[in-house]
Amino acid sequence: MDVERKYRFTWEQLGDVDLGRPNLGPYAKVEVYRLMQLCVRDAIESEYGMAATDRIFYRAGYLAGEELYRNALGHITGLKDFFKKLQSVLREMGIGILRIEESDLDNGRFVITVSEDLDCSGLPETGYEICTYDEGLIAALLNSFTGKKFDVKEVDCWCTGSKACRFVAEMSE
Amino acid sequence: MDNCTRLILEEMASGRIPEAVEAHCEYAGELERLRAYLAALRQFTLALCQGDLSQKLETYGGPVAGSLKTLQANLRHLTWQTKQIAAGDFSQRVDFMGDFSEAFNTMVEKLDAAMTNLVNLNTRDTLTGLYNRAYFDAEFGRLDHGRDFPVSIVMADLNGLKQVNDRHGHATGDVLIKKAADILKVAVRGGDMVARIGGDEFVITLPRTGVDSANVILSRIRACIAEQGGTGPEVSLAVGAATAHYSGSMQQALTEADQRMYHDKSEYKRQAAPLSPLPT
Repeated sequence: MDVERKYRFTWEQLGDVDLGRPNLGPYAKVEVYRLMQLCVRDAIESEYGMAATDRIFYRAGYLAGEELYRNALGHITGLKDFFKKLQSVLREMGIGILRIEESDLDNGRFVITVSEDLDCSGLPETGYEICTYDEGLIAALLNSFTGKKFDVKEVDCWCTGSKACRFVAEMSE
Repeated sequence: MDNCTRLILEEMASGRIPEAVEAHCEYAGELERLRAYLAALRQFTLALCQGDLSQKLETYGGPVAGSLKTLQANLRHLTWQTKQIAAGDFSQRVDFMGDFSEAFNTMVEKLDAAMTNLVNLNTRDTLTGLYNRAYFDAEFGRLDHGRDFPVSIVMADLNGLKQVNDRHGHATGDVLIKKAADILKVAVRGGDMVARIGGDEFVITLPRTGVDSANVILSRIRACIAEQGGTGPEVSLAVGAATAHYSGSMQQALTEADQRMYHDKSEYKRQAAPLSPLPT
């Protein structure tokens, strides 16, 4: 069934920030980003429940990861280049500091951490991982680079007491 | 509080972790969870101290377990970075280990510089800065088995070097060789390789270059020779070019380029006037 869409994302929708914000420039406070994300999460959860909210955030992160790979990473020459460019883009955009713990392309397994994560670093400890958006984002980045599907799970998070979010990515096909 | 609970709390407060909590203690359930948590932290910390970075602490959260896991993650990343450096990636830098980061980064920078120096020593001709014979041989083999065909080859030989050496000394001869090298460097493109493969012999490889483009490069070399300025002896080069069109034909092209260069050299000898006197 075709669903009428009003908000289908395209990279162009990010707009011309230089033109639109000659005085305020390209940056906003992290709190503003979190205010929006946490309120959107709250509203979706109130409407659709916890599990659906996680699915939606994973899917949104996945879409963002695909777009980021296509529009921000440029030409990739290999795995080393992929991680180097990704580290650089994530740092430049203030998304987080990416570090690699394990990198096994042949067996389709990666363990990476993101510290100073835009989504969660400094949040109160809740006892559960909350970076479902990042899970989707990383899955899409790996999928875009390798052409293979990856399942990504956050195993440590600022919200569970860690100082860096740790993600395990495993090839699922 | 019952005596059993008090004794166990006292033991924990003194830094020890009991082996077990007796079931009859009033807070046996809570004490056992605390004991298990501390025991897991101890095991994980001990493993870290012994350099074992494979242990997991997944069921425990909180700031203490979290910090230990972050330390483990950082050490695992450091291990990964070290492997990358061992594989030749000297762009790796550490930014999360305080003074160690600075020491590590300095070590990597020095390794990078030493490696660059070593590579240059092994691949460059010290007089001209051009690639040397060993590098040329390796590159020649790589091109012969590569996908950059057609590949053109230019052979160049310095005319009159022996006479300059005999008449004005080897220092002047070296100046002539360097001038010839500079001319060749200027005449070629970014992806071309110029090597000095003998005392007065040079070779240029031109990947993805057919006969017509190779002739353009030859003309450019001749123009550079004609337009040379500066002081010191004047450069005269005999040159010859040939083109290899498919894998395995490079040696044949090299031989043809060499023959054409010698033909050019004999023309030079036939027409040569005595060497121009050096400026005083």
